[in-house]
Amino acid sequence: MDLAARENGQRAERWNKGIKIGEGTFANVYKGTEKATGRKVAIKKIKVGEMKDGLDMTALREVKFLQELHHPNIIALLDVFSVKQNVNLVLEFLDTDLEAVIRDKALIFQNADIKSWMAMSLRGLEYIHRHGVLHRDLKPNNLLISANGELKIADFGLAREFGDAGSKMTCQVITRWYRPPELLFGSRFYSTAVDMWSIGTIFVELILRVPFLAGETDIDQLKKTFHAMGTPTEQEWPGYTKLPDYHDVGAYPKNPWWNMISSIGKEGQDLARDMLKFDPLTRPSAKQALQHRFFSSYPRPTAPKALPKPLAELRPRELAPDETKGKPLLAPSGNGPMKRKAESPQAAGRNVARKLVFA
Amino acid sequence: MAHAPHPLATLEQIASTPSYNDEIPSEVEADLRVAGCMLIQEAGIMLDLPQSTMATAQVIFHRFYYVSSMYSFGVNDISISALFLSTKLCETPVRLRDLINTYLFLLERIQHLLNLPSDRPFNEQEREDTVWDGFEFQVPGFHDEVFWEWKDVITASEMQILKRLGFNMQVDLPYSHMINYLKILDLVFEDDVAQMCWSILSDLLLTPMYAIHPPHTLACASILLATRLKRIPLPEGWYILFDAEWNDIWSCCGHVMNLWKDWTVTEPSQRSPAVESGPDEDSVGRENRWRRAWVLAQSRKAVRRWLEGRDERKAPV
Repeated sequence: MDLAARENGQRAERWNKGIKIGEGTFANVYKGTEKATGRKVAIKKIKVGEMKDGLDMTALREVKFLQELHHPNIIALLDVFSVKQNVNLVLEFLDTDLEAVIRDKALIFQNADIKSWMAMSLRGLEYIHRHGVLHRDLKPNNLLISANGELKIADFGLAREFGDAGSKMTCQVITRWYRPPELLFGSRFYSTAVDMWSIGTIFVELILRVPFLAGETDIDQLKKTFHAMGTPTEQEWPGYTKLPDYHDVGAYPKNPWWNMISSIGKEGQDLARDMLKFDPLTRPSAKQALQHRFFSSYPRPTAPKALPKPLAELRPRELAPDETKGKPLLAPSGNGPMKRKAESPQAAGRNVARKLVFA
Repeated sequence: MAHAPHPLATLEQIASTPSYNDEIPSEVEADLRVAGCMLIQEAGIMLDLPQSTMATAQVIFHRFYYVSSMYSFGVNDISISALFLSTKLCETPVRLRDLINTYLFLLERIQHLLNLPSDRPFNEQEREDTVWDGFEFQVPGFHDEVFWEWKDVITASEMQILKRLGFNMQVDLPYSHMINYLKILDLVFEDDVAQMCWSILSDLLLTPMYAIHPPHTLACASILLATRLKRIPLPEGWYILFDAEWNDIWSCCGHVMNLWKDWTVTEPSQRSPAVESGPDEDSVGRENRWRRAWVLAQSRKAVRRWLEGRDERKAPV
C-alpha cells in the first residue's frame, strides 16, 4: 500500500494523451505515448456520469481482472490513474482486431492462418480459465491483433470469477451471435464451457468469413442454431428442456453442418464439432482443445508475423461503442438485422441495440 | 503493472498512521475503525449480503485509513462507500437507494442512543425494555434531498478510495485458509471449533489486523485463540507448518481480546451475562468511549471540532 494518491499525479505524468480514436457510451479511447520511451499506448478514459451510481461495474471488473492476468495473448494493462472524477486505463496499443481481419475481403486465409489465430485465442483463454475467470464476451471484435500479428484477448468488462460453484450468475452475457444455447435457455449455473462455445463459433466464422449463427433476437438465435445443427435430442443434451427459459422453438432435422467447413480438414471439423456440442459438459476445456490433433497435424500454424493483416493496419482502428464499454446504447430497437447486439447484465430485458462503427 | 496479491500496510504506515500524524490519538482512531466496520457489518446483514462482501468492504476500509487521515475523510462516508464498492467487486450488487436507506436507519438508531442522557447506561438488560422507547424512523421519499446528498458523497468517496489505494482492490480472505488448516489439524469436526474460528475472524475484521497481516497469519490466530478458549491442546510449533510467526498470531489474539473488552463483545464461547455485571464504572467509561466514537464517525467536521475542543481544553492549563 503505497501512498497512491500522491503517486497518482506522477503516474498521470508518465503518459501523453493524443488524439481520440474511439468513442463509446461509457468510455473514450485515446491514442497516447509513454513519455520516457515513446511507446504507443491506448488510453481508455472511463466517463463517470452524473446519473450513474458511481464507477461502472464493468470498469471495475476490467481493472480488477487485468491487474491479475498477465499473458502474451491477453491485453496488458500498463497503468491506471485518475484525473478529477475520471478513471484512465493505460492499455497496450493494438492495431486492429480479428473482426476487421475477417471483414477485409481482400485478404485470403489459409488453414495455417486460422490455426494460428485459434491457437493464440485458446492459449489466452486457457490462461484465463486456469485463473478462475470467465471472459463472457468473446467475439472477433474483442480479439485484438498487435502490429506483429499476435492475438490478444481484450475487454474484461463482463468477466467474473467462477470459484464458487453454487453462485448464481446472470445469463444475459456474451454477444448474441456467440452466446451458447444454455445461456439462451436461461441457465444460471454455468462454467468455462460458455467461452468454449464462443470460440467455436469464432472458429467457424474464420472459415466461412461470415458470422456463423447471426440471430436477430434471442429466440431467432436459438432457431438459427438448431436450424444449422438440428434440435438437440434428450440423449445429446440431457435435461435441457428443464432449463428456466426453455422454449420449444421447433424441431429441426439433424444436419451434417460440418460439411460447410470441410475446407479446414477433418481434424478441424472434428474440433469445431467438439466445441459446438450442445451439452456444455461434453465440450472440451481450452486445455483439451489445445491438445486436439488439429494443432499437431499438418499444416503448422503460421507464425504471427506472417499472418494476413488488413491494408489499413497502420491507421488507428475505429472502436465500436460496445467495444469500449460493455453496455448498449440507449437507441430504439429494430435498427435492422445487421447490427450486432449485446446485453450487459444491467441491461437485462431492455430492448436496445448497439451501434457498430465498421472499420 | 505488477501487484502484490494482498497489499499490506508498511511498518511506517503502522507506526504513524495518517490520522496519528493529524494528531488524532491512536485509541480514538482504533475506536473509529471499530465504529465504521460495525456499521458495514450491520448494514450488510440488513441488506442480506454474504459475509465475503462485508469482509472485503471492511478490509478496504482499514487499508484506506492507512493511506488517509480521519481528519480529511469522515468515517461514516468511507464506511458506506467501501461497502458500496465491495458490492460491485463481489458481484453482489445492491441498489444505492437501499444502501442509503439502511445507513440512514442505522445512523438514526445511533443518534437515538446518543440522545439518551449520558449518565444512563444502555447495557444489555436495559436495552430490552426502555432504551428504544420513542425511536422512530421514516424512510426518506423518492425525491428527498438526503438521498442525492448521500449519493454525491458516495460517488466522490468511492473514487477517493480507488485513487488512494492505487486501484488495487484484491482482497484475499482467511476463511478458507482457516478451514483448510483445521482439516490438517484434524479439528474440523471438533465441537464447533470451526464456528468459533469463523466468529473470531469476523471479529478481527473490526481491528486493523487485516491490513497488517496476510490471511494465513489471521487464520492461524483464529485457530490459536479458539483452541485456547476451548482448552484444546495443539502440538508445539503447529503454526510453523502454516508459515505463521508466533509473535504475529499472539498479537492478533491480543487485539481481538481487547476488542471484546472495550466493546463488550462477549467471547463467542460464553455469551453469558456473568461477564457483564451491572452499571459499574468500567461500563460507564466504555459507553462514553462509544459515544465519542459514534459522534466522531459522523463526519470529518466532527473530528476537527473535537480536536479543536481538546486543544482549547489543554490551552489554559
